[in-house]
Amino acid sequence: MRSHGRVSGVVLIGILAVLVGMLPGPAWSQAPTLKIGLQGVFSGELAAYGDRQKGGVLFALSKAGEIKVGGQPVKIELVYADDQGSGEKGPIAAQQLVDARVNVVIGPGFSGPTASAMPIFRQAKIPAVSPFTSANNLAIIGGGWYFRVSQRNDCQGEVLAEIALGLGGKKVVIVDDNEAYGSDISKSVAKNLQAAGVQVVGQYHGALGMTDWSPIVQRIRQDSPEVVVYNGYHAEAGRLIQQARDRGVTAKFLGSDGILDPGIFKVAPAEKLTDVSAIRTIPPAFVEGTASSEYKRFQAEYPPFAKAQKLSITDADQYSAGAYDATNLLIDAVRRAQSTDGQAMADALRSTSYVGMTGPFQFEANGERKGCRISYFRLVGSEFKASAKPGQ
Amino acid sequence: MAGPELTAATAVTDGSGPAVPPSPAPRLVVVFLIALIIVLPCLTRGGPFGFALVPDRWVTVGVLGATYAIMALGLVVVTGWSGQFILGYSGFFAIGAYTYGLLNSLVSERHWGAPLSIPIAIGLSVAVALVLGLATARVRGDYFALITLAFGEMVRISITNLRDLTGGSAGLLAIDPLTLGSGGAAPAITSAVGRYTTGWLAVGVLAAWLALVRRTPLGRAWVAVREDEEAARAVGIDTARAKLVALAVAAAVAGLAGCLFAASQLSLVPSTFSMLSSFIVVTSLVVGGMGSIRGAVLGTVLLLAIPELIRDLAGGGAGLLDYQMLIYGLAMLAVILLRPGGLASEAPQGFRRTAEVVPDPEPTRGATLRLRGLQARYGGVVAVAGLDLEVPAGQLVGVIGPNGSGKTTLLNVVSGFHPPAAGTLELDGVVVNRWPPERRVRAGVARTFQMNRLFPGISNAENVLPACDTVDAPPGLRDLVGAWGGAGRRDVRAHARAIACLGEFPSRFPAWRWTQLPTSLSYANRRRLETARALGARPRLLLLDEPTAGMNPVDRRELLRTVRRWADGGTTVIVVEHQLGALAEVADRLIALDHGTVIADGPPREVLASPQVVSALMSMEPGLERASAR
Amino acid sequence: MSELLTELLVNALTLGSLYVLVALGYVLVYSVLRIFHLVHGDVVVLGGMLGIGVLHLLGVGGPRGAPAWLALGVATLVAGVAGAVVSWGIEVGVYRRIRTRSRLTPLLAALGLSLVLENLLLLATSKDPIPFPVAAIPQGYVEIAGVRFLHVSMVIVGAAILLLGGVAAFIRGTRLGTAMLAVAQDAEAALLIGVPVRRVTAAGFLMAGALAGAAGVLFGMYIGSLTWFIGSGFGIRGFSAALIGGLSSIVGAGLGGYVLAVGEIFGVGLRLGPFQLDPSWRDAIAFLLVVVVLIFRPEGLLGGRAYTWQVRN
Repeated sequence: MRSHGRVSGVVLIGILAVLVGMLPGPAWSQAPTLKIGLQGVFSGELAAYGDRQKGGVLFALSKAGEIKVGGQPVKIELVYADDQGSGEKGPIAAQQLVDARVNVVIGPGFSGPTASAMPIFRQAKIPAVSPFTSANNLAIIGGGWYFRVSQRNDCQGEVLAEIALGLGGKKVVIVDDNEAYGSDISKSVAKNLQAAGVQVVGQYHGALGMTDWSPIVQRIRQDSPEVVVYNGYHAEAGRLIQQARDRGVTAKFLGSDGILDPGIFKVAPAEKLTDVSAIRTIPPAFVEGTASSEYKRFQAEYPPFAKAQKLSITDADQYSAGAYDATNLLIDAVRRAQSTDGQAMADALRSTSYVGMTGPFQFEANGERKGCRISYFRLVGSEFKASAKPGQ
Repeated sequence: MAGPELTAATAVTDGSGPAVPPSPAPRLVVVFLIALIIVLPCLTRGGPFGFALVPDRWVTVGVLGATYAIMALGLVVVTGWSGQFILGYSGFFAIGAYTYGLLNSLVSERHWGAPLSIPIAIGLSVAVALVLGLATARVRGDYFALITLAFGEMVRISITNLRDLTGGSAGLLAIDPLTLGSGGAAPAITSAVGRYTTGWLAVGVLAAWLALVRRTPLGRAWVAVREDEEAARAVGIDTARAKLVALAVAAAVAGLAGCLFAASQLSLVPSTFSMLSSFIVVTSLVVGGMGSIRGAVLGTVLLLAIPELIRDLAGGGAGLLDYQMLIYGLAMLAVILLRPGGLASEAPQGFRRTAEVVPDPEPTRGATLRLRGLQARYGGVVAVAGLDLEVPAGQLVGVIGPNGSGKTTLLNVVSGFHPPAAGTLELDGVVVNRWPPERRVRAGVARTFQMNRLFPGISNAENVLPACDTVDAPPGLRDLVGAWGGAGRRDVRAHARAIACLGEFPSRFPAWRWTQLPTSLSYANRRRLETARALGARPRLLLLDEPTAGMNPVDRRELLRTVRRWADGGTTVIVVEHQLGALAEVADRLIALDHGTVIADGPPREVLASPQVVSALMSMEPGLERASAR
Repeated sequence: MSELLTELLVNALTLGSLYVLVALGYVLVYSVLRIFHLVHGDVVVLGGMLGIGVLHLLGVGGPRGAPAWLALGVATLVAGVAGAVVSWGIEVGVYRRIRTRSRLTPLLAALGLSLVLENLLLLATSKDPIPFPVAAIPQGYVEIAGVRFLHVSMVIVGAAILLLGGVAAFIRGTRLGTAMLAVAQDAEAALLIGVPVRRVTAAGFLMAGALAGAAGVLFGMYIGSLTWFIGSGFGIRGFSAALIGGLSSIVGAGLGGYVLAVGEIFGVGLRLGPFQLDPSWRDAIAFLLVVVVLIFRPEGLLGGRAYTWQVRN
């Protein structure tokens, strides 16, 4: 019986030791750290978006100089979380960031995971600054912790309707890929067109990856609109336009952001892509050459920077620009709040009047950015040429 | 209604003998798994002790794991146990999830609360399953699988296209977490640990419940259907109904999983419910072991944990996740080629050895059979032509004839496996032409098959049990509820009866043979087992199709004498046989068939002496003259 | 109204021909091995992508390149050989090694293979579509009742009918074809009468694979590009076509393909008063057609009559 007691005594002490060891250590007075979580797509076919997100943030940080809070320089740490662009993995990646005790998140990159991740960020009181999500209803879920840098789909809808009108559309057909992004914009376009008194003769939905668009081409021929608005991405748009032209459709094609990607030429030859134009969620100032010197510097220095970082995409496009602006917006907020606490940063963000590369930042109470900044491009030959919006 | 008088069966539990077939996941693994599941949240920051050993993210993964584990359990019932492959399982998952979501979200402005919404979601899922099951009742297994695939996709497409209702591709957002009451201000389980606990508690309860259901007559009926559907009907199981119930249970379980998913994800998109997600659940089952509850959970945990572990190793963002789908595909292939049973094969059901004696005081009242103008055809070929026959109760009739004379067809028609083209079939004066086989079994008609049709994947004693269940403990919906009640009197009686049936062949089926698989039996013993099984349903009319085929003369005589004993006890028996000598010894009457018509009918000696019979059979039967001379 | 009908017919004819090209492979495999070879669509894409590679190699459209028709011929040949090899490899490497008696296990294996093959294609090529050289695509069209019938479509239709007829003639006219019929009806019996079942099975897979490769080049030509994941979509459609027509009938594959396409195109194209289904329902219509056929006539429109009374295996 004595050895029994000795053994249990040792075990008890051992357990106590382990328990004590697991307690969080005392807080040292250390330099304030700003841990930025980057949630986005870092694997799979959409990894290019993650690269743009990463590139923009890193570039901004490299140019930002020192940030001081309470007189002390802030140490910046980046934590990455891959949600693969899927709503299911959103909460998992978000939880990863919360575990890592990030102060703020730049991301998530896609609307789906943003919708499912925001409740977690809300509960953890971590503001999320989204560089390029576009779904219309994210602010509802964000509950005040979501801040959008990019243009939401309603913006595109408004502008597309205006342009369609300007292109001479009296009867308009709207087509999309039945996905969240495309159909969201379609709804908005239809609403705005109808408000302007234009007849929306048809709203049709294809599918992502669809190769045979003949039923929709048939409908377009049947409806004979002057303008067809396509909302979605370039591969489907290219196929639709080629098949439509092959079958004698002469209507003008107007596309949402996502159409004008060089990849469109892998799907259809340039000679078939006639009378095609599209918008991009880039401030017109960028394309008109009236942009700030900051943007000119971005254009010049970002590509080599991105290449040095071994990123797959090195263009100074609106995605990396969005990530760049998001980072700087954040840094501005930190400077004004003089704190890396989540609530303080959120309040600072909400009251910001920072002027970024993509234009002035002002947020509604729910985190939506005020104002739409959209550029118009025409497809000429095998080039995308910035142009003035028709009818203006 | 009693069957043939059985010799007193005092079953003595013996305990000795060769070991049981390949074992399921070792107890240790199961215990470890359970411990891991319980301990995991305690090691995270959000848990009760506030340690930070394990990242909080694993709790979220665990919630997803619980959801998929529940689905896998549903698949165990419908695919693992009742053999119906469901490739579009995500359809029911989606119905459950979206129903819950539509009843509990800011966007739809309804907050009905979990206690009300979950039963509704489950109910809807079951209703859809019933429609699907009834519509596809006659469809063969592999085509059924394809139909379910189409079903799953049609659900997803409908959800996507009915965008005004469901939000379409953009999804259904702002769903309430698991609320414990209705209305917007009801208390809810909002923490990840809370959901984790709820989820795994559900898994535990479900697993325990299903394990109990497996031991009921319903569970046994499912397995019999999986093993051999025709044979299952031959022992009295309403296979269509059994399959429908299995499908409904699976749909209910998937509906529940859907609710849990919606309440933890808080938003739903239709792309989650694609063919791929169905495939992943099926893969967990294939990897874990189809018929095994522990296998299902094990497989799910493995398939979910490994990509997450890779994520940890790869440091949160790298390219290894590119290979995730590739890995799933390879995992499926690897398991199929290398270890088809999965990691954990089905747990053998312990056979309840009982010391109960079968009380069987009443002598059997054998059934009378009457055929009038019976005709059976296969397409244009007439197998049985205008047969008139009357068999009084308790008679042992032998049916002989050359190959192709219609003997087996006759048995098939009488037992209900082939529809008569014309004529009537009367059992005890009741016309039973349209009765399906299982109904005839309940009325007292039992049969054996020419080609052995045992249930190969379950033990010998379990082979006999379903027949006994038909009489003593008919499988039904109440087994789903009654599972908690334990064995029950009826179940014990069924087991005792099974032992008694096996005891009809003394020394052939000692206790240690009960839990072995039929593949370990000799051919003769397998024939005996099938005959014993036929006995289990207390038949009043026993149809034996060449029961002694392939046996040596000693065994043959023994079997036929046993059959004679049953007939003496009152059971009407019809035996198709080729071995005329042995048959003549025991039969009261012989009927000779040729080309579907009766060419002789009477006492064996007379029939065998008839020149017509001799000439019909002569090309087939050597030794005929010897038999007829006796 | 007649322009609408003409257009729907032209579209259905073209789409149906695409389905037929894929469906043939399923029927061939089902006859020799009785399994649902659901990875076939991906073999088509594999063949097509290889064909595109060959075309680029031969410099089609370039200054010193081979003439289009010659290059296409070579590409189709190479694609066909590649498809045959891959298909046969699948049979030897996977299907032949499956030991369980369930018919569903090979189906699961096929789905697993599909995942693997698609992801390998992704890794080998790119996530973006691979363009088919424009110079190798016939341009031009014929106008019928205000509707353009593209030359490319005519090639597809012609190829489908030719291949359909060719395979049917082969099955009925040659010894190997007859051997396949025997194996299709009862492999065990065929073995017993001396048919080299293993070799016949291999031949079935080789043929199916070769057809897949050729089909891939045609697909690439019609669509204008090939992407790594489109195989499963066409695979399922082609399989549905084969199911509708009857998995045991070559001509059935043909009929099924056109019936499916007509159902799909007319289903979303016809107008009943103000009511017209949105094109996004086409997949659902295709699936519904299959379900209806499987419930009411599981052996397919042209399949042999099945006994209601099941004979074991």
